Amino acid sequence: MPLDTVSLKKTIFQILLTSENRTTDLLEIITKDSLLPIIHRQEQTGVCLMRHSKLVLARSGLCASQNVVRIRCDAVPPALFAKLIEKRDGIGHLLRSFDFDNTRQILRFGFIKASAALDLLQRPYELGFNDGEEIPYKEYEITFKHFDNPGIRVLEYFNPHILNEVSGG
Amino acid sequence: MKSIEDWITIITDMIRNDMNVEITLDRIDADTELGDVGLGLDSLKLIELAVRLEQNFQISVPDEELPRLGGYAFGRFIKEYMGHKEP
Repeated sequence: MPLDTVSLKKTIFQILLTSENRTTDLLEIITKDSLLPIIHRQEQTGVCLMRHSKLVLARSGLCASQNVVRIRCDAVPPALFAKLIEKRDGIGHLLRSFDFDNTRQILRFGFIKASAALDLLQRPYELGFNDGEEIPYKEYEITFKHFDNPGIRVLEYFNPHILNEVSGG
Repeated sequence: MKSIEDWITIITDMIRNDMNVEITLDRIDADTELGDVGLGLDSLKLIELAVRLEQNFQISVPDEELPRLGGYAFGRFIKEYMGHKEP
């Protein structure tokens, strides 16, 4: 594996392993660009809201990540849930703007073939950046202060080319 | 200060439990290599291991050394990178 590829993979692992900082912020720092959310689908079943979305780079339009998110309305601050219902903002940006106290726990992460990608219900999940490269992914839960249960579960698949583009590779 | 055997236990536990890698070797000691002929970690897993150790123990493994980690024996890796750091 060439050294620049090794360095990129290392950077990806550092992002995947980081639970203290927000992934959206890290991606914006790395790409020196802002990320725009595109919400494809959002549906509410019982107390759960399921959101399918992606984040694209504002300047290039490159898809940085595809995300599946499950939100429990009884385990997130009501003001945040009201904003999520509006379907305008990405969750990362909302969390940054509200700045609610929360803890994050990474459940799993790594690299996966696009054909093996699943959603949060373990159903096959189609990725827009499927060209044979292994896809970095990360699944984590967010628990808000004063709530007993995790309120948000996030499964993020990252476009492996986003870092290549930044490094000129 | 931790012994090499202590570090081998810490690192193999991390590989098994955090990285979900099955280690089938009957015996692991300071001469066991991290890569194909030893633990069997591939290049991606070796990078993941380095990053996990960097984050957990505030050590640093140079990027240029990462492609060679597979040929490191446990003893050499621990002496060169884990030093006297406590977990």
